[in-house]
Amino acid sequence: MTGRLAGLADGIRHRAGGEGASPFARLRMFRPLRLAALGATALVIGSFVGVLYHVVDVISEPGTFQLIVGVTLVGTTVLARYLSVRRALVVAGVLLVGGLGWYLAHIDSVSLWLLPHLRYTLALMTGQSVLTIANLEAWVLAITPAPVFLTWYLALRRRYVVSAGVGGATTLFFVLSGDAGPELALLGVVGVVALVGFGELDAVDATVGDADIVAAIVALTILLSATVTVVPAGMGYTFSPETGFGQSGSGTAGTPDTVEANLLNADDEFSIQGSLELSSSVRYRVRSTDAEYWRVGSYDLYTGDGWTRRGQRGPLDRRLGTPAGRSRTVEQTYRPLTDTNTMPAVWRPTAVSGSPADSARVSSLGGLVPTRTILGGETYSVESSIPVATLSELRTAGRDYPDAIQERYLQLPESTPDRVAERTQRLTANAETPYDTARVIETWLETNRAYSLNVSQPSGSVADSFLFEMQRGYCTYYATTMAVMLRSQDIPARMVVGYTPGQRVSENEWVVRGQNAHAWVEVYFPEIGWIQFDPTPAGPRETTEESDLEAARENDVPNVDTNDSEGGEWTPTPSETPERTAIERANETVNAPLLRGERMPGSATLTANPDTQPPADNGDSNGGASGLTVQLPTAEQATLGLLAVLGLAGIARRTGVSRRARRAFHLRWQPRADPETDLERAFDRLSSLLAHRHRERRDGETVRAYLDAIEADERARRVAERRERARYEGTVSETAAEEAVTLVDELVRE
Amino acid sequence: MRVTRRGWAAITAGVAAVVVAWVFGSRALNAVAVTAGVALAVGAIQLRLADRPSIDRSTPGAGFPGETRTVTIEGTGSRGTIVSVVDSLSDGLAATDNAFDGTLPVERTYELTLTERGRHTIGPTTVRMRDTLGLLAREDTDGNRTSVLVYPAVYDVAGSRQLADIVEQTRTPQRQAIDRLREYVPGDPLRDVAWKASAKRPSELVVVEFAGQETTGTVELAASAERAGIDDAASALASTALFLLDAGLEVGITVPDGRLEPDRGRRHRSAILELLAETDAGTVGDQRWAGADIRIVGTEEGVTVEIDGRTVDFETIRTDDGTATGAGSATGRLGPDSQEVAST
Repeated sequence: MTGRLAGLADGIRHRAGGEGASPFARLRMFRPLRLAALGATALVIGSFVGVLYHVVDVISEPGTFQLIVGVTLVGTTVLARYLSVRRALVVAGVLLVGGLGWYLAHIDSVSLWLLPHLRYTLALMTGQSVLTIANLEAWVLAITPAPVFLTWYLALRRRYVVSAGVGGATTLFFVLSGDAGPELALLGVVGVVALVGFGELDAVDATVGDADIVAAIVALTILLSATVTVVPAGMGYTFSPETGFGQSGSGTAGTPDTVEANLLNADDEFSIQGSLELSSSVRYRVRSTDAEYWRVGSYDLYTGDGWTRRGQRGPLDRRLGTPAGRSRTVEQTYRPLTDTNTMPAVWRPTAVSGSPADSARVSSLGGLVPTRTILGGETYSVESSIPVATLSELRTAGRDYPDAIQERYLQLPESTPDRVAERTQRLTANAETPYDTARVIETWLETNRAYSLNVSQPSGSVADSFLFEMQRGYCTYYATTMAVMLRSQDIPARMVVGYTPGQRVSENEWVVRGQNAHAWVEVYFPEIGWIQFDPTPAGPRETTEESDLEAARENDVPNVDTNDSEGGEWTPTPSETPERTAIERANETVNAPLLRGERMPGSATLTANPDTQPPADNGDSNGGASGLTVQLPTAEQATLGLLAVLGLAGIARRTGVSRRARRAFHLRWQPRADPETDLERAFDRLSSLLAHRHRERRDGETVRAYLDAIEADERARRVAERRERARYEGTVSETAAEEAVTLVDELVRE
Repeated sequence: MRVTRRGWAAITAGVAAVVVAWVFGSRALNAVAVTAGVALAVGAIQLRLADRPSIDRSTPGAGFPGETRTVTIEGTGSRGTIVSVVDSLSDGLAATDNAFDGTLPVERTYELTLTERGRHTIGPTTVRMRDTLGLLAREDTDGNRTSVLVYPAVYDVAGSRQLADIVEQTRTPQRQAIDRLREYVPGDPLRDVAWKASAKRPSELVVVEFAGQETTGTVELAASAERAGIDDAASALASTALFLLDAGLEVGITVPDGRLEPDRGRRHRSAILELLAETDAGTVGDQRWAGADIRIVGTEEGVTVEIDGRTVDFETIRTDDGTATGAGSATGRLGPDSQEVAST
């Protein structure tokens, strides 16, 4: 009877121990595997928190975000003792739903329908960056606590696999949205693997040694991910909340590594690349009353390595409008020669007609966005009102910017180095108005950086790199840097992409090729509107384009020319380049004769300031980092490297390499001290050697008997004899010790 | 080798990463796909290279229903492989933690509860090896079986008048040298009480044990039973036989599956329990049946005991005097004896 009762009690105790109350009874014993599992959890949380941190960093100060993450982690650690799993799930649900509710309450015109939100979520999960989310900061703060809480709670509760699932899914979301870079994604995935592995081993009370296989998987993953690409090159589909699935980019915009594809295939996000090529295929024929930059779109959010357009698109009738100040009208008709997904239009479009207009929408920044592919041969017409102002008007426009403009176009990532603002401040010290500042920056970039399509992509902030480390770059770099420099001086600016006018084939007709794809800057002036600036030096760019076009013609690349474009430029004044024309048109009413270097606004003492030319010290470092500033690895890279090393140690252990290496080292390591120590060490080595080659000396077996039993070498006997004598005499002569060491060395080498 | 649910999740994640990256283009998904591939490959290699695990199990001794035995199980194989071990038990045995997880080499003990009369087996042992991440599993069976004998339940029947009568009738004591005096326990014949010695002790009765208690009589027991009654019949027969043996008689038994000639002693007790543990339903030959002093019949309704032409329910014998207690009781008289037998 009592036996049965005891058994029953045991059963109950066991069951309780297995599942319910005991996680914290056992929590106190911090075993290495549990610590490793919790460390892996930190890695998983770190990966998605890292993504969110970078996101927050782009738009505002990350202080609040860090506070929320910290409070969540500490709170979870405390609560985990008292909260049952069921309650914890409820808490996580409340955190998520409450957070999203709070977020939705903070954005205007919120739709209560579920479907638009689902469509938007789907868009995020098919590659749309979370940077496009309206009121992003609130969104980040709203969604952060739930996954942090749940992942950490579950790991504390020893539900490692579920924890890995929750944390991994969160990281995966940001991988899908494209916000997690390869390194953070890899960290997250490695964390998930380690968490599952260590967790499984911890659950079955394994030893630390058994974890070598987890370390091996981690190392292989890191090394292979860095070297092997198993995902195929993309078909490039996107999902847009308004238009559903579609193939991004301008239809047949050619290979993805051309400037055109890079600039214009970008949907709402645009990432700055390294070396690019030009494509010489003809894209459009444009009839226009003036030569202008055929503007495709603009970006407001600078992310450090690219640009993002925030906000949703709207219908034409509500979004189109006229500039605040005076304007002149330009009428354009575009005829794409290939299928395309872009709708160029001169800023600022006021009316659109033609069949593509029916499906066109307007981005939150005022650019035209087709919702379907525009077929080659379709035409549409745009009427645009270009803001005009005199030089004095621009100079006196002041800094009284509307709130909406300030909020949106002064953003800089918190991580942007201060030296960008400092150098801009020095460069523009003599410029008194925003307009002068913009002109100084434009001119400085044009004259101090060389045009080249062949650059290595910088890490970190592109503007900072272009300003301090690189010697050359192409339009994207110029435009990005200028916009960032302006913003650092609190002047609203944005990055614009589109086409330069192209080849003029008749008085009012232009042929636009892929190579005309370009990026420039628009600066906002109160009461006037957005005025365009182009910091890219026009001459070198056109030379590059022309030589590319010549090469394409010689190689008979198809689709390079239309019937009338081979004859060269139609122009009454051949010396005038279209680019120059466009720039001057923009400034026409400003001051027609503004020639470079001639009448520099403010002061032209740029080179007088010794601080303006530090890149010269670096000589021709070809746009890369200079020899002196060795780039420190980022925290992600350092962590990955450390994990890879640990993992390699795991592989070595699993395969027995480390044991052999240790033995080999042990056999050869003979530090020299006094003769006694040397001799003793030599004998130790001999013992290990004999133990490995023959067998261990048994307890109680004399050295002599042992050597006899294994029929040891004469030299071994000699070393043993030396040691024996040293034992009895109490002293060792240096020569005896030396001889012993030499003999053992010989034996080891055999 | 089999892919576990988690393994399918990993495969799905890997394939989905490739497809999504292909359709929508995302370089970071490479990490997901590569990791899924590496994890599966390492798991497959780990399981492929793993040696077939072998299982050693301690042999638990025979015992009565309700008793527990500690079983130690040892698994050896490739180091670090996570295993789920299930030691299968046949009906009549029970345990709560005969299934457990661990990494090789593994050693666990679990409490085995003997529940029903009969010869039972532990094993074969199923060893399900998993890779460290639990993506793949390989199942091996170790056929090593251990047999466990469970005796019929034995009840305290010392309070029964009828049995006491049998003992009295049968016993022709041959008293020789007194071996020792000991404390009275229920069931001792009253005439063994050393009244004089007892008078000197205020609170207990003392009985005499004789050194050479030679053969004093023989009792033949026979049992036949239907299938539904065989367990109870075996139990009744065992209880009666042990009581009579303890009373110093020689006991011979006949059951459908066999016969034991009258004898005494520990070995005989074990033999009786073993025979009764395994005997099946059936009847006993007429001659044996007719010659038995005590006949036990087991039916669906219950067990009857026929002694000297009088038939009573075994239940009444058991509960006579209200002194009866359940089997396996440590306080009952048969307790120490059962233990003694069980340990042989």
